[in-house]
Amino acid sequence: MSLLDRAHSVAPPDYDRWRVPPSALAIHLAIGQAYAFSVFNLPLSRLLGGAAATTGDWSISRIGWIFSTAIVVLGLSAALFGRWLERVGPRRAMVTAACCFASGFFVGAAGIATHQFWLLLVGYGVLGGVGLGIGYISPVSTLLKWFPDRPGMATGLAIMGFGGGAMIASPLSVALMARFKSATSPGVAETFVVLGVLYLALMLFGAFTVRIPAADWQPHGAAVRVTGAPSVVSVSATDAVRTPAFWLLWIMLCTNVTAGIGVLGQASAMIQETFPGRIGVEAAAGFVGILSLANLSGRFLWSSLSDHIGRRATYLTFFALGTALYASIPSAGRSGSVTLFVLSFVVLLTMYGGGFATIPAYLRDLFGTQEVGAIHGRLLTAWSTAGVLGPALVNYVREYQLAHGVAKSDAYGVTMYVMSGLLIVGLLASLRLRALTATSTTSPSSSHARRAP
Amino acid sequence: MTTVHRGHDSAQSPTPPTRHWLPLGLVWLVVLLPAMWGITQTVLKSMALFR
Repeated sequence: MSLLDRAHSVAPPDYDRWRVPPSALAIHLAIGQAYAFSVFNLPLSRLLGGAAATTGDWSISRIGWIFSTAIVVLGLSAALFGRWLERVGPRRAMVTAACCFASGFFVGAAGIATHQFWLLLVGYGVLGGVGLGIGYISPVSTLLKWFPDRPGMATGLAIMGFGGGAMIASPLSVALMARFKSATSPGVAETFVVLGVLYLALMLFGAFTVRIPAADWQPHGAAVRVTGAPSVVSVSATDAVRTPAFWLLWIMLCTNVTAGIGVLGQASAMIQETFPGRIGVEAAAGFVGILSLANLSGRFLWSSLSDHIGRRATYLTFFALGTALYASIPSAGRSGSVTLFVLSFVVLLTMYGGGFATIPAYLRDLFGTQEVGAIHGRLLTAWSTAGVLGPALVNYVREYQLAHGVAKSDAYGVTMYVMSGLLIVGLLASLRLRALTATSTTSPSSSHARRAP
Repeated sequence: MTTVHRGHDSAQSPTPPTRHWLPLGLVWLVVLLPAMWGITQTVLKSMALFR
């Protein structure tokens, strides 16, 4: 297995660094499938009954645990395997991620075929979740090392793939289920097997095309003078988690993701209930599609912009603008303006995606590149927390409102104010981090300047 | 003071290494084709909001 050794993936001196992002994209396009898992909800709830659910069929809320487990395991495994990844290099980590993610589908297919819920949970939720976690962080530190001059753009490109992955998986899964559907089966188990094979191939492509730069490698070309901190500051993952800066970033990621993830999961119901009689099921699906595109484009646009305006300014924009937009959405709903409602959410979802994509570059600014993958992995526990907190918060607030006689069209108003409040917490954390690091970084454009507080 | 360097895609690069477009194009094609297919599907679905 020496082919997987770190030494075998070191690039020659004249290697074209633009051949590396596709390797990262291949991994993220595959694991981004997780966000399309909801297409299986209905078919999985009718495995026994066929056209309608019958006694013994799994409930939708029970099936929801599979996705939640996968996201929680994603964060835990990213935190757990981060240092291992830095030691063995991206290729071995990507192959491991590919094997885990694909095995998750195969074991899950066995669980579906035998109607064993625990097997599906262990397969897709746990095994697949480990593949998600390792796969998510594998290419990030590699890209940061290849693009020291454009770290935001580079990681944004990869993490954009995670958003794109759901766009591929959703129509592909629907098409495959239609192909394998029979009188006795909705075709989910067969679809899982095919997806497992396809994703294994795509991720292995990424693993065997990835290269890491030599230790002394620097991009060729014109010199750019950067003032301030030393060029190489390396903080270990163990030390990084002991700094206030790490936990402020954790709060920033958690609040930003909680606000976005809660809305994403309820977007279809929300727009239909806010504009009853005007927005039907099909138009609501279109709204969800637009939000996915906003999420995808925000990952690249905001992270690339952060290379120019600085990470601090980028996150301050997310939280200040996000707070104002969430607070204004109930008014947009009451005014009956669908356009204003949709536009507000489009901007919010670009910032949700941007928050994910810009965080690795922020970590690199503060802690250096040596263990940035491991530090990023530990920070992703914020995502796991948000993955549970966001949907629960939105559901709970909505149910509470409805139980107290609030009309469906107004039920999301309070939720939006709660989200706005969450972003204020993120804004405070962002301002605190700004104060902590203000003395150690120089200009916003000096993305290479960094020092751990 | 620290000096870092821009990539060899920079026009100011004094001796840019030769770029091999075929392998570069092929690796990008492998990921861009499925990505563009997925994005197109989503854009088509999104049109329903404007009907």
